[in-house]
Amino acid sequence: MGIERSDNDLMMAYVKGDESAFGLLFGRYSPKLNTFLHFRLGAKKRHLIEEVYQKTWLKIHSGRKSFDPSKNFSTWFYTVALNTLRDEVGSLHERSHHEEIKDHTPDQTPTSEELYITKEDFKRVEALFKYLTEDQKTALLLSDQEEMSSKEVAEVMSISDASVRQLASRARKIIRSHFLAKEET
Amino acid sequence: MSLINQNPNEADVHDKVLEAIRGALREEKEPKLKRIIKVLGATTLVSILFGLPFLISFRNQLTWVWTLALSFWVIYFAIGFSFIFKPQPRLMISGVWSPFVVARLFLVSTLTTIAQIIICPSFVFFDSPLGWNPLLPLTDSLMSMGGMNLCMGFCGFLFAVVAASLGIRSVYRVAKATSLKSNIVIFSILLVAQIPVILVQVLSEDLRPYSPIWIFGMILGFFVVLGSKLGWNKLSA
Repeated sequence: MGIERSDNDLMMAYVKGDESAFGLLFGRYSPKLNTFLHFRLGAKKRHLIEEVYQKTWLKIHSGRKSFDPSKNFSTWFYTVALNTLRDEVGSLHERSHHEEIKDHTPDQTPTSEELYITKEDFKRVEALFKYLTEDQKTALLLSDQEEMSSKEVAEVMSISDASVRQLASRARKIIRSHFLAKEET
Repeated sequence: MSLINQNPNEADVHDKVLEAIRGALREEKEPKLKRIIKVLGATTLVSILFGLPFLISFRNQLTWVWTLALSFWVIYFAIGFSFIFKPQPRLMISGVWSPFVVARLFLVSTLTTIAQIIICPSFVFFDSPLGWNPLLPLTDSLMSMGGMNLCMGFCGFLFAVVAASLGIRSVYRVAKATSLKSNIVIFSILLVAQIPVILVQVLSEDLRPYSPIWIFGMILGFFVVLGSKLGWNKLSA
């Protein structure tokens, strides 16, 4: 059995024009991107999901030669995806949620209530995403669903590591409290 | 692994994107000479299909100005096809003006303009080779109502509406974005496509006095089409 090629290897081959490498990379990241956009935008915005999905891949293709092989491919990929999403839905909305973070105390240690939401639970709590801000959704999805480190997520979102942990922690808390409230009724 | 069940539409979109980018990668590997041959071939074919009827119909009436316009058109076809055949993912996405999409709008509106002149030669003071001009009754009505000014203004308007409508229709999925940038792009492409016609008017003694009113009608026609597109987008949203 062959050794699975890393994302970075596939990306470098794709940059050189390797169709099969692109096919493999697409196979890995297409469902992830679809899931990310689905949770981020909401299932009802199917048309917008499709547009952002297509535009993200177009930008990946047109910007592939600018990929820095010393960086993590998934970080670069989600940075492109998030920027495309922001361009599509309006950066003003995103910026207003960035400013919210600055008022909070940094470096809050997550409590037992703020433990990761498992991938299986994501589907169950999809409806509760409406209670989250855009940044909270992004931080939660990339941290828990994509299992990226807070440092990687910080790079994607262009915010600090501490802000990412805070956003994700708060998002988990909100989801859990609404989930429990729902269970009780 | 995907956490969501993919519906058939999403699967179509994914396949389209995959194939489009794969296609672009394959095209990049093609020798440049092959691409040049494709561009020249397409340019020659379209020039013959549209240029020959034009030349044959009006051969005794063409001045040096028309030779210039025909040269412009051939250059336009070459530029348009070089954009069409440039290696790229061929995806029609709202608001994304790739070379392929720009060329499509440009070529369709240019070809529509040429076709209109062949059908309505009185616009350029040509006598119809068929001895029959379907728009002559309209021309006569406009002349009786407002003389050459009304006739030329309406002509510019009609030419613009037909060229813009068919052009936008050919790239509708991209053009439906209602952003200011998208509409500026469309307007600019349509305007450039009309340059040979404007050149003919400005350089012809007979047509020159009426060129400003024709251009005004043309711009009005573009605004009407773009405005209708905006209204249609809002209604269907």
